Amino acid sequence: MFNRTPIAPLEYTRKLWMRSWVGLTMLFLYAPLIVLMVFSFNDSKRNVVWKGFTLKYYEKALNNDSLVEALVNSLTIAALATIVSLVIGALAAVALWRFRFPFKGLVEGTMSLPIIVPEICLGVAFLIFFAKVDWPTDLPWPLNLSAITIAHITFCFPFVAMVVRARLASFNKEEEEAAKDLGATEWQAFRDVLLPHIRPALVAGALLAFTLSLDDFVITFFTSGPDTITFPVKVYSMVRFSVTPEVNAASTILILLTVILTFIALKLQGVKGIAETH
Amino acid sequence: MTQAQQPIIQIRNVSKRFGKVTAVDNISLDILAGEFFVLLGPSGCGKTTLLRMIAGFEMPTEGQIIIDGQDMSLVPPNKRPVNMVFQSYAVFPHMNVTENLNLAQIKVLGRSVDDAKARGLKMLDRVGLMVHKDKFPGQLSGGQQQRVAIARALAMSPKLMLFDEPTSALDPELVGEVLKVMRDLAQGGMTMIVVTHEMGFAREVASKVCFLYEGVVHEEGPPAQIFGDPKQERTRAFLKRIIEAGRL
Ligand SMILES: Nc1ncnc2c1ncn2[C@@H]1O[C@H](COP(=O)(O)OP(=O)(O)OP(=O)(O)O)[C@@H](O)[C@H]1O
Ligand SMILES: [Mg+2]
Repeated sequence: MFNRTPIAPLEYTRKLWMRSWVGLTMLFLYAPLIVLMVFSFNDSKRNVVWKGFTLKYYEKALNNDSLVEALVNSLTIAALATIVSLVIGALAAVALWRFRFPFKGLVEGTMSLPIIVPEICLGVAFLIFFAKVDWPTDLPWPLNLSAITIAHITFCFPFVAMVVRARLASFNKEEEEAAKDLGATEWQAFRDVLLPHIRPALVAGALLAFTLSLDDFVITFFTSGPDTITFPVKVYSMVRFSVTPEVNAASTILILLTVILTFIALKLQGVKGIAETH
Repeated sequence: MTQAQQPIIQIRNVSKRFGKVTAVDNISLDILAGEFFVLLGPSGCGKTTLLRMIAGFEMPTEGQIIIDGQDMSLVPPNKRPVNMVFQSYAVFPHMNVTENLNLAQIKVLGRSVDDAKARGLKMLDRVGLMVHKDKFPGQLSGGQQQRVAIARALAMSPKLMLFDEPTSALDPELVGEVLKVMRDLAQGGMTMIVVTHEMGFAREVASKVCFLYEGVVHEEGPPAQIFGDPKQERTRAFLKRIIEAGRL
């Protein structure tokens, strides 16, 4: 106990004040979520005092057809938006990284506009746009989700592009030249050399896009119709009456879903990543 | 013997301009099969540009590059019987050594997996890295990675190999192992064009040395003459600077 190594100036993790600060930050960030999850098991209609453990609100949530429908809508939109954003975002990033062309700065700036513009403005813009072009609203599922999906792609793909762009900065261009020198076509060099390099960014970008789309409320609110309720919009309408543990249960399911997805993605990434760098 | 007379590569009045900068200015060179051709010159004199035109990464503004009797000036790099070894090694970090060696053999030359493996291992043995065949580049030293890159190029059975400062990114104690592999290659009869600042090595191994200055061939000849009795003032000054830096 007495002959422990003295704390070096940069060993912040061993300093008490730093540990308490980190602890408090974590508490601040996660306490609300933990309360929400704990109270999803609360055997009481009103969400105030703990009355005992129950799973009945999970049963209730899963039997609530409109809630499940909203969740399915949300997941479908998120999946579609993720796939399209991934393709557009990655291609945009590669194009901006590879080529020099006139007004490149302008193009880059315009592309990240959806990140900067306040969501409420985007929402209103989409509302007006889809009304102006008379976007059909009576399409069968899942085509009726197209308006929301398009809106989501618009604000998701710049994030993918940003992440991929950052990753490309660390790519050694000589690797691509080596591939071509060894006989690879443009496509083979892209698939076998560049793509593996940006894969971590694609995974990160996909996660980002998926979660952004899944929990978007503002833009979705403006682009959804009575038949295209998404999970956040549905939860909002439920909360307007009263916050029942059912809402907690549904939210907990959503949280678990995203945590599991993130975990899988990181795991997939981790194994390969470690083999490469060590 | 007749083969030795036929130049494997003929550079005919080649110029390369980047906007206003003339990187290579009307160069003509013949390189014979089996030659170890060293390019020297101060920074910015066009050595890399010349190599990149031979490899196909840059197209000449004027002139022709004839490889093995065929005009290849405008042929893309993946269609040329030429392989390059890069300063940064450029081994593929997400593949292990064996995969690095096999990929192009299988996908480009259409060799069977077994053939590719056999040839890959043979080349790996030549550069002395058999024991590391299952490792990833990140687990190897710079010198070992550069030798993997050389083996990878060799596996493609190139007619001509290009080296652009293959040891200048290496720690000093690792330079020797790469130079040894190159020396062995030269003795095995491989035609090589090499840009290097390892003058001792160049003097010993080169069959011909070419001194470039501002994109022009300033002086050309056997190493004994260029290093021992340079005719041009600029060659002398360049060599003197190198010697003062302790590289000879
Ligand atoms: N892609 C390019 N765009 C514009 N200018 C270029 C390009 N590549 C080379 N240059 C210019 O051409 C000239 C020759 O460059 P090069 O890289 O061939 O020189 P080098 O002899 O290899 O020099 P070093 O010893 O520093 O590697 C330099 O003035 C360089 O700035
Ligand atoms: Mg150079």
